[in-house]
Amino acid sequence: MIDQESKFNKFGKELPYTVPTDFFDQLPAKTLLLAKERMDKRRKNRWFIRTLAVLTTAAAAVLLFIVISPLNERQPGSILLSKQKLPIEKVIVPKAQFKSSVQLTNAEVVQKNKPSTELTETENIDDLLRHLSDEDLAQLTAMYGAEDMENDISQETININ
Amino acid sequence: MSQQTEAEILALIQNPNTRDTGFLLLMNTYQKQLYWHIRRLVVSHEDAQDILQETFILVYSHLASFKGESAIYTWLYRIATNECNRHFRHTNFRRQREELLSDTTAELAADTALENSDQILLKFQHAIQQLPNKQRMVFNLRYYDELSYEDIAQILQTSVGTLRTSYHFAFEKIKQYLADHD
Repeated sequence: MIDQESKFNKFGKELPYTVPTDFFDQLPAKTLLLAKERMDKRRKNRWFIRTLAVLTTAAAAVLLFIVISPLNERQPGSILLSKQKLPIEKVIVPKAQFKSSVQLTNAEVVQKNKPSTELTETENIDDLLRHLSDEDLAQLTAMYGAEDMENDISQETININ
Repeated sequence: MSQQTEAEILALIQNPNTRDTGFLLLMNTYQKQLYWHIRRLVVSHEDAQDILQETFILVYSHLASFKGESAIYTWLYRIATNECNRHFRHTNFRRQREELLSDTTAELAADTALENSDQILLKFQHAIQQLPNKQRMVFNLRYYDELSYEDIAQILQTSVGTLRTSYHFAFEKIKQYLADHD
């Protein structure tokens, strides 16, 4: 191969090209500056991409929470609705059946018909009722229950009409 | 390039406080060698300047990852050659091969008319420009840079046997071109 190369000896290793003056003197400083700028840019880009990734993940998590949370809320909500609907249906008890079932004690009758929040008032009424005889109490209970039922029935008929 | 200087540059580069000094020393040591390697391949000074700058910018950003498993100059030559290959691909994408060759010839003629009127040198360069990229690289690295086949194999990442064959073909083609244009 060396013998072969010797055939090109007349051409030597020179090149027919020129280079601007001071090119090699100025190039290192220029290149270093460019390299640093490029590194800074890359660092900023990397920071931007990372921030964007974190924000996107956070936004996705929030969206997912928004999508999932109404589903969770709907279940208890639907139970509440059903609970609210239940009292709307009223059970009509026949008058005769009601009358026959009037065998409750005075205290039980009072407790059943009055709400628990009015306990202080019922205590006063209890004192009053204590002085009444059993017959008076049975009559009073029957009257109170019959009136109540009559009111309910009349209310129902109004609603139906 | 002495081993002492290479070790000195490596030591400066590996220390973050003296990295810039090491980089400047690296550039001052190898820039001419690399510039002429690139210039012989791309011919145009502007292209050679851009590729050389890009090479050193890449070197700067990968300085920390250089482990010293190969010699610095083979690493630098490899980066520069890859950048040249990238340039060729980019240029070929835009222009046809024939167009590029005619431009190169025109640039050569213009350059020579300004500074060097030696027609022998110009003809020799024309002969080299006719070669395919790979053969041109092998020929230049062997003929001008006088690198060993082992070093060229590291730079071009091919086997020594392939390189010998490429060089032989390149040599024969140049000889033929010169004989045809005598």
